[in-house]
Amino acid sequence: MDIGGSRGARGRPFDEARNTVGSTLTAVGDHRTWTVNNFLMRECVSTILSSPRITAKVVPHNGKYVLTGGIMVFNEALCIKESYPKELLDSLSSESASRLRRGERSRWILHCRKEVDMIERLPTPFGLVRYGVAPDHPETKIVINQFSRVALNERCSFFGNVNLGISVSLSELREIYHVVVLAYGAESDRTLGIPGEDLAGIHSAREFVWWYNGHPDCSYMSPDLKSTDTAIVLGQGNVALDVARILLRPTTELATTDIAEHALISLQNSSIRKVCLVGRRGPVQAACTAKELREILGLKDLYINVQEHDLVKSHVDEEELKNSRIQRRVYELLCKAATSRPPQPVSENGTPGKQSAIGTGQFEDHQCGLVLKSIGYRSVPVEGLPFDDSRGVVPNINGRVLSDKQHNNIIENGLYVSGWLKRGPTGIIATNLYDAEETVASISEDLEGVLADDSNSPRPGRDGLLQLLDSRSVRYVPFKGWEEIDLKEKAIGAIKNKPREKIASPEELLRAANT
Amino acid sequence: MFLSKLARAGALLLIKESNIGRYSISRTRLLQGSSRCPFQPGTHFFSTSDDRAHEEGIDQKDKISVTFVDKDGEEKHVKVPIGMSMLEAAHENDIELEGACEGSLACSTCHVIVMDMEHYNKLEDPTDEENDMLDLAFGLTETSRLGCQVIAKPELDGLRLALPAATRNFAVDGFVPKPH
Repeated sequence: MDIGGSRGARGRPFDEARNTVGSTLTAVGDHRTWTVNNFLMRECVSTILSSPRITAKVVPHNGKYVLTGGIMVFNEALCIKESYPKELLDSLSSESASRLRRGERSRWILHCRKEVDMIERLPTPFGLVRYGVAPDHPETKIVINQFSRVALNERCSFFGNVNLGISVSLSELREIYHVVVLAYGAESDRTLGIPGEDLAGIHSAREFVWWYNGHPDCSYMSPDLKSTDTAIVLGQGNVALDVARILLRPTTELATTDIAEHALISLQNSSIRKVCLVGRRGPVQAACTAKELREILGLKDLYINVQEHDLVKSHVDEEELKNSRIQRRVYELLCKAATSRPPQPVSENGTPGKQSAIGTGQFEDHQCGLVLKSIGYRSVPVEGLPFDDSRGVVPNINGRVLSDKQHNNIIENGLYVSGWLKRGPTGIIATNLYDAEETVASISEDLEGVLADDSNSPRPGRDGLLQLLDSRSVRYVPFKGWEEIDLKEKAIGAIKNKPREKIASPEELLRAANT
Repeated sequence: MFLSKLARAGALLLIKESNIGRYSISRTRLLQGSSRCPFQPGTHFFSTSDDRAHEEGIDQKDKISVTFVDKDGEEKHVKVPIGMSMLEAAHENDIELEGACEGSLACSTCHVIVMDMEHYNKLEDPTDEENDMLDLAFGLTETSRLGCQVIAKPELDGLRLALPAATRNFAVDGFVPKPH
């Protein structure tokens, strides 16, 4: 299947679009620039690059009128409502000019020359796809091809190894760029808030995932997998299933994935044979998806033990199942895997979809040497960013960042959020796609509304960022640098029959980037 | 079989030459023209099964008509060779259908809705794996499928596929997706 090559991220050749009438127009340096801090948000970027809502402006320039951008074929519903100066129409081919004159019926819209700079804390792009998706899920990582096509667009730049809050502050970015989109996800964990939570042998599942995925921050973590045969995972979402599967999957199968070498060795020597998944609520509220559950249920040489009495549902549970196809299918899978049957009544704690776990006061003791808490990620704020501590997200309306509550929900102009930082750490890649579209729709609307005046005045954009990084001796990794890392990782991997061997040390990554 | 294939190609050649003489005869033109060939109803004699047609190479591939309907109701008619998935067909024709995992059944971004029950029933039932992905699709309907799993076959000629409302273009008319 060919969806690569010269085509844009959406299967539309970028250059074709621009060349349609581009040669007859003068493009001025319009520095509408965006910054995105997490590569997972490439949807955000690609939508900005091709958003039909952002129409170019006709501006006076050296005594004549020029357009600020090229022209792109798009949707009939779009229109150009401004009236056009004669000079402009004269400068166009007659066909293009008549298209412009037709206004509402026009199939043509003006497309701004926007630039998008992505700033990433790590030297490598792709965030959660590289460091969150399990090594035995290579098909999920194919989306990297699409991300790369966006990154390789000439109007898109990648700045790896630039740490928001340290290398550059949020207020500086907001000075340099017209629009700043924060999409840096959730890099911390929710806590249980119970005594003993920080004892040795207890880790967050996020750290464990980062460890086996070769994340530079967790490459030195060495979970003890040798002095115990039992691990307990708290949680019943996909991350919980991921860590359970990695702990139990035959290492011969893991050996040909892009799992980090240190993790593979540790797992090869692991004495863990039993993993218990503990859910606070019932199976109806399990956050995992059917695919991941089906996968672990079908794992080679694995005995599954689901107690039927754990599957008893209340009326409210039934209601929840009726309303959700995914929960229904997950529940059915669990039922198929269940054994034994002493039923017990089960209590209801809330309305459908809003049930919470309430302790019964009864405790069970389980012997184990490793506990992984997989109860959710949590975002961390940066200086100058409004943050809702209770929900762990940035307060926003459709991606527009709101000032703190005491400021009466005033919108922070030019500041947006997308992804997990915006709505909390749930959902799959496609969820972020829709999420990003919503944010981009807000940006597009604002560029014609509240930001219209501002976006016509120049900002330093990329040059400003480069100057700043230079003055602070920040060694950034451009996308080219990532390509070097990529080549190197693949070369090392090829020797070991792995798709790649991830370089886990930050210093080595920078060396490999050859910047 | 080989002879009959030759004969058919010859017939096509003749038709092309007489009908649209100004075109140079090329393999692509033959393919594009094949659906308009008056012999079309008779092609069943020559193509035994989908797989066979696929194996027999590009020259003998038939195409079916598929209509993609975007959420504004705008229709795009395309010809899809037997054996090609609707995801590939969409991409070949610049139809805005995502395909994040490139057809490896690891995402739900090529979600399409089969617009009539009759065609839907002609499809093989979705596998568990496809259903697992459909679980996660936005705007799921009774006749939802993944575009990468719907493969063109003769019975599907005239297939109409709707792109779900929450596609990437929703901003055009101010559509705002439901909170996730």
